[in-house]
Amino acid sequence: MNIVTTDVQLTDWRSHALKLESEVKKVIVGQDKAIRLMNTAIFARGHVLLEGGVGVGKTTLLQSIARCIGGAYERIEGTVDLMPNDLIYHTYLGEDGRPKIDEGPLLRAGENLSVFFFNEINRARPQVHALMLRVMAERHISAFKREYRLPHMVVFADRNQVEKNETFEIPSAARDRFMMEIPIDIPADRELRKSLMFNLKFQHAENLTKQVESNVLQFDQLNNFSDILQSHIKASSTMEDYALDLWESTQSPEKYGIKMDSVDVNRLIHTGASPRGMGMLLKAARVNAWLQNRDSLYPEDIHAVFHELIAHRLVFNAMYENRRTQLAREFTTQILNTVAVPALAKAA
Amino acid sequence: MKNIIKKMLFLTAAFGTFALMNPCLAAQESEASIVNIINPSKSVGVQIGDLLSREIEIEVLKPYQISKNAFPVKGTNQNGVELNDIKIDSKTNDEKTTYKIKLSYQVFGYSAKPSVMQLPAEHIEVTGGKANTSTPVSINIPAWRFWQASLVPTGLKSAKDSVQPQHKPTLIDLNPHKTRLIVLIAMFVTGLIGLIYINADKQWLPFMNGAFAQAHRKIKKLNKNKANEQKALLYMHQAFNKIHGANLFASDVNDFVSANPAYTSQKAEILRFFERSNAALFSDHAENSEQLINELINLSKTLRNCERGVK
Repeated sequence: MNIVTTDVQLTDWRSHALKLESEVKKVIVGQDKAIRLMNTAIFARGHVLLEGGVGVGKTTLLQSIARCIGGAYERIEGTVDLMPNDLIYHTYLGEDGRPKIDEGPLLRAGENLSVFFFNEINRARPQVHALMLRVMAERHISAFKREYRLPHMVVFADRNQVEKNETFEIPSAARDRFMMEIPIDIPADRELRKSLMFNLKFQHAENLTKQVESNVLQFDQLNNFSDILQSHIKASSTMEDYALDLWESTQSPEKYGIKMDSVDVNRLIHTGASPRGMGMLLKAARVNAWLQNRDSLYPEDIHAVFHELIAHRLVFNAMYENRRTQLAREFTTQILNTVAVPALAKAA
Repeated sequence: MKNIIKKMLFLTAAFGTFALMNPCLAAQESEASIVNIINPSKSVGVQIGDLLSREIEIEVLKPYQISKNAFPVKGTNQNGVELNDIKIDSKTNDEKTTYKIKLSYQVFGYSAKPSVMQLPAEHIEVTGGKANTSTPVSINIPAWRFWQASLVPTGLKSAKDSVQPQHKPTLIDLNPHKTRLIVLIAMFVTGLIGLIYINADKQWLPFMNGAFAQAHRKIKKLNKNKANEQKALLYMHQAFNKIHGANLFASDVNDFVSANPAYTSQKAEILRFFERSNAALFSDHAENSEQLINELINLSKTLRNCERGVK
């Protein structure tokens, strides 16, 4: 593929990506950063864990994005009695009174599945997590004596960090399969809050979603374009060194002089980011550079996704787990504030 | 009585005879005459070195005139009195020429005792007239006497013996001058210190060890080549990070200038620095290393001035 064609593709897709954001922003207010991050994940082909309370608009947000992406949208609710087979098939009595089996939400749309939403994933049992995470990694599954391919599927899962009753914590290895964990918070702006309360358009989620233009992207071409995008954005040696320093700082923060006010950082970290996590970090950062209309990776691109890419991958010592959200935010902020670029030793 | 009358008659007859026999005098009085003589006002106590002036006004009927060579010659010394200067002013009308002669004499003669000296008599020939009928005409300016006084008494051997106690000269009040001088010196020193503070580049100067001052010194020492480009950028980033208290990136510049208002005026330059730094460090856009390092030297100096409160 020649350079001109690539440039045209990059420009066209970028305008589509920005259009997606503007369309979603029409119906979702106060979530600009989350929308940008989800857009980034879509083009980096990564799965997303959403973190947020009840009724903050996660479902509306996802449905709006799914409508823009095109393709099929499926959803399942995580419950304590949910079994893996509920994702694959469901049984019922037909009109003729005989038992029947139909494909479950994971298989129903086949290759057209573009967005799969797993609501409250931490309420499901670990067996369900295991199946889901395998499908996320491999994007295919065998059932009914055949193989179902899900090449375009992106999983958005939601978990409530506050409520702990009847939940199963997602193990670190499973969390690592998700590219990002994006917080969906209630907007802080009072005007926006007022609007959410009194503007009737926000009271009808279904009608709201219909306002979003459909098929802004071509979901079945996202994988190919993502490869083009990833190979187009270049990282300088300084940038590679910086990314490496960031990775090492998640593993040995004391080596980089990282300090935290509330805890002893040496006792906080059990395990830092994984190689897969860092690979995903760079993928997402490249997408951010492309969205910023650049062909080179800048530190700001990594910063834009760093917390959402790294925080859920960190394994804290058990005594700090119940403060994970707050400590993870402080830790990633301190890393970005402390690890220098260009690195002092390399430049000197 | 008869004798007296006889004597008068005799004198009258004698004068008439003399006048008839001396046509020259008659011509002198009629053809050229001294109209006025103004002598020096002071005729006593004249000392060596004093200048004495006299003015003589002479009228000469036409066609008579006084040749320039007929006047006394400047520098002529007669009995210790030298003609120091002579100025002649003449006015002519249809009938006569009026000469105003100003003679300036200087006394060089000296005597230990007061003595009589004189401004010399001068004789001025008048020329012109008809060749056959005219008679020689001249003007005689009479001498003028004065008393010359000695400078010191006779026989004085040592000037020291005659020294008189003197009043001290009136003292000038120096206080206003002193105050003015102090103010001027203070202004000069303040200005000098200000100039040194603003322009000098030494580490020992006050506030010269800030982050940008250090960066400026380090960057100045670098050779301007590609290899040092990254070092120069590093020094600048170090300075920004040190002041910000954390890593500073382009997206944080607004927060940086809000927290450090001294750099507000340079916000555009700081943003431009980050733009160029990103291009140099993270993209393959080729930069002119020499130009970049020169710009970093200037920027670090400007930011150092902000750091030191120099506008």
